[in-house]
This record gives sequence, structure tokens and C-alpha cells, in this order.
Amino acid sequence: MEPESGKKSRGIKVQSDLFCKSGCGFYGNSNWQGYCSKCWKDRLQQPSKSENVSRSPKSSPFARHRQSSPSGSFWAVFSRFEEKRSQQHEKRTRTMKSLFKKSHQSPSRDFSSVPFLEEMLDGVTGSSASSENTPSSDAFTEYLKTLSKPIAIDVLRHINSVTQKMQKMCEAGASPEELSDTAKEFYQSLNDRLRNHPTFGEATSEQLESMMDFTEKNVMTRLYKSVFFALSAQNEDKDLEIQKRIRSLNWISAAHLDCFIDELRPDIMALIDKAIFSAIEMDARRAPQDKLSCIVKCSKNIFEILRVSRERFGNVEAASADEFLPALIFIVLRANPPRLHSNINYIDKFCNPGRLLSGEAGYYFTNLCCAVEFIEKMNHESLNLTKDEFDRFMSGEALPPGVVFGANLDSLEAPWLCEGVRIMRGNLVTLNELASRDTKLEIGLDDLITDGATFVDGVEKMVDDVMAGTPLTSQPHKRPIALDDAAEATENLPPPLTPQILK
Amino acid sequence: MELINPTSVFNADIFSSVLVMSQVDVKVVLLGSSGCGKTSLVERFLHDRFEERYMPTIGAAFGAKRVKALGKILKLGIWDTAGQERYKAMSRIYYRGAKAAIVCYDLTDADSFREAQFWAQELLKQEDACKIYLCGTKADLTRGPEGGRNRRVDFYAPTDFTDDVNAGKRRKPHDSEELFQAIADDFISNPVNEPIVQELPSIHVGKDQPRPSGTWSSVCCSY
Repeated sequence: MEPESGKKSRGIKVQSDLFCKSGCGFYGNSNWQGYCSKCWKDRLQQPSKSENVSRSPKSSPFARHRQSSPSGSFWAVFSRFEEKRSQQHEKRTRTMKSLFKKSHQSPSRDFSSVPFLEEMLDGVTGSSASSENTPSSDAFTEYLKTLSKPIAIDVLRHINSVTQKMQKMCEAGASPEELSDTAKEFYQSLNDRLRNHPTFGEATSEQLESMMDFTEKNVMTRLYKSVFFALSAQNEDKDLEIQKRIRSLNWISAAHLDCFIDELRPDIMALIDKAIFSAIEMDARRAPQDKLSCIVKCSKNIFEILRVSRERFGNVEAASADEFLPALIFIVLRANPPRLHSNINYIDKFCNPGRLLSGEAGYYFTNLCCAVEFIEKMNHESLNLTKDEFDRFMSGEALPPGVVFGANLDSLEAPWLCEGVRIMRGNLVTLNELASRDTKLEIGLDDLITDGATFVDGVEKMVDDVMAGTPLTSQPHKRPIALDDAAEATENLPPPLTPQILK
Repeated sequence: MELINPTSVFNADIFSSVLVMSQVDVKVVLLGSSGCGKTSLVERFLHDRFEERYMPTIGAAFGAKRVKALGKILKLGIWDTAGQERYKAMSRIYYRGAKAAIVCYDLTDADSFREAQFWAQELLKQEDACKIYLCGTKADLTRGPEGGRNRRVDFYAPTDFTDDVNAGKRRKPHDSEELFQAIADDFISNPVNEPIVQELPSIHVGKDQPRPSGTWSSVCCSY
């Protein structure tokens, strides 16, 4: 039996190899991956279907292929997200195991061999880039390349092992507290390792610190989904509660909190919006230190608000905590950041603890915790209101006088309004102004027309006057005098004057 | 007041976390009723003599600066707290893990001293590892021929108070710089902090017996 178009060497193969792989009874062809022409065509026509059917560890080439172009296949990834993630996790585990095996087998391995490092990098950043779509992984890759290779490899190994461990814990339904302990243990052990291990001997303390930073960022970004969902499930009630509470406190103005923010000034309004934006942005960030930096940004904006507000009163002193905390509470009330409790809990549990207990970010984070606690426990006493007033404001029965009947009713920019209404009102004011200018224009136009008319009349009148003053008198046409003609007058002249006609 | 057992402090989170940062950070909280001059204290501290500055003058609520003490360099982080009555309940969040607390009172305001006493007691209850510094402010108003009349806090009141709660020594640094210097010195020389201090290039061993944790240093400073 000879294959139709196969090479001679294939003749040795057993008969079953020559038949179509799909088992239809026809002969297959190596050009069609061992299918017969009909089955190959069918296969080509339904590539997606077959891919789905053969979804198994075997199909990892497909996954790998998609990984190489994460942006292009984003939607495809999204639609099968869960499935894909577990699959990738499996793959990662296998890759890492093989890597560990390799490295154990050859401890004297030449670390300068680039492919090894590249492979590990792919294991870390490639998988996180496709499944999490993080921008941080690129920065991380870049950062690792600046390190010497033994260090980079060692750090990567630790990162990968802790990520796997925590991922497994998540899947096993571990509580956030357990996860937090694991994470903190990891930070501590990595720190000890960095300090005591001979491999890191020559690294400076700044390098070590930035390495801790990057490590924390990378690990937490990769674990964000599983960890944060576990946390937010636990804190869901509290999240909703504070959201509702802040909503019912929408009547609070800056004056209630004793902070002197003039919300009606456009420049301050813009700064407030910026601060609110940063407060809300916190929820969108993944790594704890990124969330922290949102808080810092928000706080810096608040100081700017305070500075601008104070300048008006000629007060150039820098704002202290006495003003900052009320302003932060005010911003939190205005922003109503989503999943506030979960976020605070997340930062508290998974941030490198050293960051929270000292340093600027830690200070602002502490202030945020205070603000949240204040909002939760706020009662009539903390706002200098009577209990009755407070209850009425809370239930929405009444609104504080300063808000509705304030002096600024005309400005239509009352501070308790939401963003949309505020913009609408702002636009209304602009429109009103436009209308009044339009009326003014019309009046001006009318004036101009009247002016034009009177001008024409005036000119006509003047012309008429002049015409009347100087009546038209027609004078006889003057005939040119033909000097050379013999005129009667010259003939009558006395003899000496008689013109002589020269010829 | 019981002596602090160094090993019991070791397992506290605070210590392990401080190790994480390569630099030794000392958290210093600033307590005191509003308007008693906490802010000026921070501003003074940040901008006086030292040329090195960590933060632009955008706000005086937080400040950090390196301070030299006994041949080591410490990074003091000053945490200002809101002094208004309504935020009183929250101050315990601030002084969690603080190594030192400056409790301010206004020498010309008797109420502020009562507040200061409250905070000091509270600190004593909550934070074992925290050293407390009582600091009377606005001393300039109490000087001169007319000054005596402005003074509302009796000269001996702070001393009596510290005696009541197990007195430490009384010192008289006269400006904020000396005050912060004193904090840094105390921190370095306190044997409880030795594991942290060891992180520094050369080790300075504490000078004498371990001191009680809540040592009182009554400090009167003016500026």
C-alpha cells in the first residue's frame, strides 16, 4: 500500500498511520496533518469549535499563542476568563516545577545564561500580563533587567512560589486573615533573605528597598483578583452600609465640619473634583502601594484646597491636622469611594507593614481610617446640632438652612448637589447669562437701527436745509467768444483800436 | 509601672516592620487641643536649622526629617493629630505604634493642660512602648513684666502631674530643636529599642538600667 502523495520513508509505517486521523476510513495526508481532504476541510471550517472541544492541557499551544498577543485577544480572553485562568495557573505550576527541578539539578548553573532568565520572566510577567492585563508587569520586567542575574532569579523564584501558595490558599477558601499572615510572613522572610543572603551582599539598601517595592507590587497585582474578592465578600455588608450612610449624609457641608472650604469658587471646585477623583481611583488600583499613592494624591490635593482657601483670608501658614482631617472627611463624604472598607482592609492586610506605621503614606492612610470611623460614628454632637435636627436631616425630612436658604441661592451652585446637577446648574447660569447678553445685543441692535434711521433722516434734513438755503438759479449758458471772428463790437471801435486782421 | 520585658516587645508587629525599612523610622505623634501650637512646633522642626527637607511646605500635618543622635542617624516622622474635641475618640488610631508622643498644652490656657493630662493618661494605658513628652507652649507670652499675668498653668502643675503617674526626670530644652533631639537621644539610648538600633552601622548600647516604658519626661519648651 502506497500513500497517495506521501514520501517513500512513510512506507515503513504501519497501516493504521496512513488512514485519516478522524477515522473516516479514507487515507490521510501528512500535508493535512494526517487527515483526509474532506475531514481537513471540515476541520478548517470550524476551527473555533474544535478548539473548544479539544480544550485540555494538550491545547496549551493555543493558549500560548494567545498569550503572545494579549491585547488583540482581550475580548476572547474575557469571555472565557475563569476557564482560562485556571488553565493558566495549571500551566504556570508545571512550568515552575520544571524550572525548579532544573535549577536544583544544576546548582552550579551559569546564571549569566540569558534564556533561562527570559523563560522565568515569561513565566511571571507573561501569565500576569495576559490574565490580569496589568501595566505593572512591564515595569517589573524592566526593573529585573537592571538587576544582576543571580538576584533577579532568586527574587523571581520567591515571588513565584508565594504567588502559587497564596493562589492555592485562595482556591481552598482560606480566610483573608490567613492570606494576610502569609503575605506578611513572605515580606519578612524575603527581607531577611535580602539582608543576609550572600547573593545580595553587594546590593545597597536603596536597591533592596526598591526590590521589596517591586516584589510587593508584582505579587499583589497577580493575586489581586482572588485576594480582593475574598476580602470584599467578607466586607460587603460594611461596604454597603457606609455607602448608604454617606449617601444619607449628603446634606453635610464644609461648614458643619468646621473646615473653611469655599465650595463655590471655581478654582477650589476644580481642586475638590481632583481630590474626589483620586479618592475614587483608589478602588481601581491593584497593588497596595498604588492604592496608597491614590490616598497620598488625594491628601496633597486637600492641602492645596486648604492653601488656596486660606490665601483669601491672608493666612499663609501651612495647614495642620486640625484643618486637614475635617477636609478629608468632607472629601470622603463627597466622593463616597466604592468598596471603602474592602480597600482599607486590603491595604491594611497586604501592604508591607513598615509602610503603614511610618512615613507619609502611612500618615495619610491613618487619617483616612479616622475619617471613616468618624463618618460611621458621627452623631448630632459631633456636628454641633441638636438631636432632633440631626435626625430630621438624616431622614431627608429637612435640609440644613445653610444649604437651601443660603445667601448663594442666586448662584444656583449649591454644594449639596451631585456632579451632574451641578454642571447642569452651571450651564443654566451660563445660558442665563447668554440670554441676557442676547437681549442686550437685541436692544443694542434696535438702538443701532434707530440710530441709523435718525442719521439718515438728519443727513437728509441737512441736505434739504442746505438746498433750501441756496435755491437753484439757472444761468444762461455762456458762449465761448470767438476772438478771431469779425464781431460787430470791434467794428464800432475807434480807428486806433480797430483790430487788424493779419493774413 | 512594670518594667518592660524586651522579648515581649519583639513579637510585636511594630518591630518586625521597622526592620523592613532600611532606615530606622521613629514615629512621633503630636497631641494637644486645637490651637495650642502643635503646628508651629512641626514647622519649626522642619524648617529651622537643618537644610535637609523632605516635604515641601504644602501642609504641616506630617513631617519627616533625619536627626543625628549619639552618632546615629534617625528618621523622625512627626504625625500631627486633629485636636478638636469631636475627633478625640479617633486619636488612638494615630498613636498606634508610636515610639514617642509629644503632648502639648498652652501655658496660657488652663483647659489645654487638662486636655493634655487626659491624653497622657490615655497614652499610658494604650501604648506601652511610647515615651511621653509633656510640652508647654507659648512660653514667650509668659515672660517679661506683663507675662506673669498671662500664665494660666501653674509652674508646678506639670511636675505634680508627672509625680502622680510615676515621675521621670524633668528637662528644660528651650526650643523645638532640642526637644526633637531629646526624643532621638532617648530613643537610641533606650535598651528596649536596641534590636532596632542594631540595624545602624555602629551599635550604641543603652547606658544604664532599663527604664520603665512609660517614662515621663516633663519638658517645657518655648519658642
